[in-house]
Amino acid sequence: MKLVSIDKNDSMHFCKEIKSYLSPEVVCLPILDKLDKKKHIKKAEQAFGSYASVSGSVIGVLKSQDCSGKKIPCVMLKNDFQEKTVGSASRKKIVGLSKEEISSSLFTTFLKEKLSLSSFKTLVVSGIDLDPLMANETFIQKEYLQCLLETIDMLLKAYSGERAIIAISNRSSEVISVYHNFLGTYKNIVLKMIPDLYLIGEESFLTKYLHVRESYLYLKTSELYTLYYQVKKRRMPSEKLITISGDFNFKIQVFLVKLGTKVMDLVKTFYQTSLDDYDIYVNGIMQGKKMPIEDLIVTEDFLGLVIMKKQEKKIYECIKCGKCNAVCPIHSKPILAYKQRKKVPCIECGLCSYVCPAFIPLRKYLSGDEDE
Amino acid sequence: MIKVSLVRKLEGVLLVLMLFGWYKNGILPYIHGYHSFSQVVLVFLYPILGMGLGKLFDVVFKNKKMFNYFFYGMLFSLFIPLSTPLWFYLLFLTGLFLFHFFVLEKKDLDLNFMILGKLLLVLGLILMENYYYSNALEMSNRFVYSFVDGLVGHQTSGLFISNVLLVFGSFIFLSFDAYYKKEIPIYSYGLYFVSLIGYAIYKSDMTFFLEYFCNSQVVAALVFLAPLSLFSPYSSKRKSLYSFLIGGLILPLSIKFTFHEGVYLAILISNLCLLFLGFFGSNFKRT
Repeated sequence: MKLVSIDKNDSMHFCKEIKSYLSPEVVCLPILDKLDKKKHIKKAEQAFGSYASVSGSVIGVLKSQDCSGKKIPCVMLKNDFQEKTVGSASRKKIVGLSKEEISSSLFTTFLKEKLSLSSFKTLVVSGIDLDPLMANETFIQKEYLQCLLETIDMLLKAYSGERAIIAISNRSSEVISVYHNFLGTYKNIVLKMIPDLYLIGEESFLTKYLHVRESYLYLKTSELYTLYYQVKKRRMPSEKLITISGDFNFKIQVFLVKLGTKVMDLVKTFYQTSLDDYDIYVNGIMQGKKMPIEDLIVTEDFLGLVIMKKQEKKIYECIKCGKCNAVCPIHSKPILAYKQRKKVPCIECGLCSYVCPAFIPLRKYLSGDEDE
Repeated sequence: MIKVSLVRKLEGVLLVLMLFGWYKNGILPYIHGYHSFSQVVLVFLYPILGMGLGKLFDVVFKNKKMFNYFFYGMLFSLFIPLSTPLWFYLLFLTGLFLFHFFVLEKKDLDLNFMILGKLLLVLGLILMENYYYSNALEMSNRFVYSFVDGLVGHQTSGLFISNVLLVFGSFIFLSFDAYYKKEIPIYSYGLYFVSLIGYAIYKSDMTFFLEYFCNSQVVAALVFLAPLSLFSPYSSKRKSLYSFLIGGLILPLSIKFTFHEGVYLAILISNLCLLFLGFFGSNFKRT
């Protein structure tokens, strides 16, 4: 297993507090069902196939953009700030629930699929942010640690698990100190400090590093929190944590925002700088995509923005140094993909583009994109 | 922290070598009265005109590569014999760049044209009966140079590569660059060193070993020419094969022909072998 560490910009620093943006004027709800215009929606009510994060009235239909750049039809809800919620009351206790009770509480398909196994020996929880400029996993642990530990306890009991391993980066001193206050009460939860290597938080690399050979369940802390929310509160989460960072202000700031929030509204509220001289990467600097954000909305898989000063980087011809092949974590051959325009296996980690001394955007070629 | 590219680092170390070479082949003989001031200027004209010619080619052919003709013009001047007439050098370099651009580039062939050019230049000088590496000071035999003298540059060698310690220092500096193929000089020199010891023991002649284990032509060629990114393999296995082939061929070729050219022949033969076997990165049909 060959993993590398990414150079960190030491002038970037984490902001200590989460900022909230929970009162947007409008939210955009992706339409999956038949549209019923002028409908009045309550928060958490399932309407048009997805759940509303605010209560309000439908004022229009538009095409918004998700974090892959795809245009998706959405309905615009005008927030009436009434915060009317539908659905059952929260559970008082979740430890002791059976597998069936847990499964029946889930709304999201990917969690239902993950928890469809009969049992596991080890629960592997990754608290490592994959992207060097994202901090969602870190702050989830800082803010909701008790909830996460309660959920781990619930899963271990329900699925006859023997132990849980929580993997965190050995550079996250604040997270480590938060854990030390709680872990003593959970005897079968182990905290593992992992070296700061890129992609080590990914399931295949993490389980290999931890030498997990028996049956296991892997969850990120963000997925664990979503699971907690659905089981405890018996509804879909209406908010999520996102990160905005970059060399435009050298800060890594985490926000708590409503799902469906227009990203541009958030940026305009908190940052007065014009973004014309910046490139914006959605979902990270390594695996994210550079795209305009005028129509971008916060969806389930949106992680955040990295806003970087525009740099005129001259792209040279390949110098055949072979570094892209050397750093590829899945032993693919980026140099072949570039030269022969051939599609090769790729997990879109962005390491080949990162190391290329000729600044060739190799990730584009690996994913089969044509020349720029 | 400002990141400097490998090409800029190479140009930096080559400049240092050039300054020493200029001192050794230009200023020092002038101080001792072995040639005129015009010779002092002439020595430095080779790299200046070589770089100028390279820059002209880059502009005319709109060459936007990282390793451009400006760099190659600078690099080539380091290895040429002192006897090379300036007019011949410029004419030859022009022909070499044209050959590279119109033949090698078009066919996408990773032939190390620097090495090929160096050997063809030497052949031309031999045909012109004007082939020697010593400067006027060295030819006078007035000075008896020790082993240590040889290390610090007092040995017959290419125009700007006689200082083994500077070349070694350059290698250490370049090794810290992730894109410099440092395994190639290490493995090839390692095998050359072992073969030299073996040969010296076989011949019971340790002075032979002492004379040639710090040969500046060998050291400089292995540090600067063998690992040139575009003309050397990039995978670990192929780099090892390439390096061991070079290291194993240097001594026999040097003994057969001359120690001044043996290393270049070894690099060229290894380059050609791997090229035809399809082991180079450029031959992308072979994975």
